Amino acid sequence: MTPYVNQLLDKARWRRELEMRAKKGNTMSERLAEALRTELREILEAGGKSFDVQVARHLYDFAIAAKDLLTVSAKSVEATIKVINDLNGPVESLTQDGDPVPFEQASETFGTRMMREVLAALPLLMKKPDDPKQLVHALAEARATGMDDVARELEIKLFGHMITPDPEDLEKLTQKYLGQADIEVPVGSFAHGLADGRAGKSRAYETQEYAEGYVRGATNGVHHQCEP
Amino acid sequence: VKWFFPAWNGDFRLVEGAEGETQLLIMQPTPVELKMLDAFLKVARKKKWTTEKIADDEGITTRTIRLAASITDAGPALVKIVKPKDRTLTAVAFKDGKFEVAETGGLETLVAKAKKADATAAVSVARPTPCCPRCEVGAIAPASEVLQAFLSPEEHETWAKHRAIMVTGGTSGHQYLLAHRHSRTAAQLGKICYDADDRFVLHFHDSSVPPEEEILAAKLILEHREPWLRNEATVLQLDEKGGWHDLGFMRYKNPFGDASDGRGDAALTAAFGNVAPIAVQIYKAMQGNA
Repeated sequence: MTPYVNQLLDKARWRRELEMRAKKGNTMSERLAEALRTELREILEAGGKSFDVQVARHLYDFAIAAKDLLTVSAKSVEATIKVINDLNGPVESLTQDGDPVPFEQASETFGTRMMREVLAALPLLMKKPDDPKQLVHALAEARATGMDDVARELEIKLFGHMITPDPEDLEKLTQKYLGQADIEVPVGSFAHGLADGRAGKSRAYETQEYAEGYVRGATNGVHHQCEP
Repeated sequence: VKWFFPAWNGDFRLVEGAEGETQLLIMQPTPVELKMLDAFLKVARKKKWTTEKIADDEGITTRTIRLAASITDAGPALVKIVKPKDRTLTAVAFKDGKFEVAETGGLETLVAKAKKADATAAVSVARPTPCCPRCEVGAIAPASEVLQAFLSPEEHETWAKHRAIMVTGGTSGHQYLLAHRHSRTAAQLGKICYDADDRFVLHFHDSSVPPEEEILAAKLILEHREPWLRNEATVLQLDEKGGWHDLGFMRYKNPFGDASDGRGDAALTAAFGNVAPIAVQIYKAMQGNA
């Protein structure tokens, strides 16, 4: 491994260990720690003898045993998930919580998601579009044969909205917005004629008041004498 | 007996019917899958199992096709067409809860055994790809029928509770945690598989099948063909600059290539990820102009 990787790894492990201890309170018990310290002291003192190969060997065996004794391996789903949760990630990793995701991985993650979404939408995209020429012919035929409902559907397909309003709908709308409206306008004004006409009443322009009002409104009050 | 073939939108499945008949159920196939199914139906028509066809522009979503063949005849023929030959593992579950596996080359022997014994379900899974899109938290559906057919009661329980299971590597004996790709655990790990003994992540994924089928494939392969998923291409760690490093964890030889296995797929997906936003912008601009 390169020094760069070793450095990364050391840093990551050190931080992980600290986090793990802080979050889990998972430090060695005082009793066990004291027992290990005592054992280590005894090995090093070696009954007053000098530090030789035998003592070194003893120390090495002790280190291995202590490591095995203190290593806790998660074996259940709950325990493993807890460790991952505590560290917000794997224990052995070259990245830390909060590090930015490398560009290539971000692109790949996005690409994978997009592929799934594009393929999910594909059935809609693959649907064969209607031929506009055929639609126009069909619309003409529907109109010619008096199939207004079909014609309206075809108009929506072709233009995205209805062009010719349904006569019944138109009547209903007129009734709704104008027929029941309480419109107050001066009798004989331009607006009076318009309101009367739209409200389905008798054609107001047939009356003298309307005719005068219309002329006033349309000509800004100036009467023009029509040439005979 | 049902034989599952994990696909993009669920599983195609062969269901054993009466009098040696089999039904092929197709679940929302993608265009590529439609082509593969068409190739299978060509074989089936040749063998006079069916007269059905799939049209080029067929907009089918889900459909059943009757085959005048037993599941033990139709199954191997379908595996050879819809799954890669060299990296597919077929598992058969028996009534006593045990299951046996075979690669496509040895499928006939397994099928013969399944014919004699009381088989309950079968599944053919492809090896996931080494490398590397990150897992993200998302919607999790109820456990699929195929996953349930191959989980022990204990695994079932932990799956229901945590959407994760623990499996033992068939060769190394290592304990692996496999988590649903949309679970919080997988999002924290970045991947679906974590070695609980060595405490690192194994880099592989299979986005071409639904999440539960991905877990099933990983479980079966780790238990029965561990080197397929624990090798120099998957036991690598990514640093924050995007570099890959071998930290010296125990691994096997990759039977399908070297450490670069899967990088081609990764590059292609990343390229798609880079181009897709631009394509969307162009499309939006065109819509705006129209």
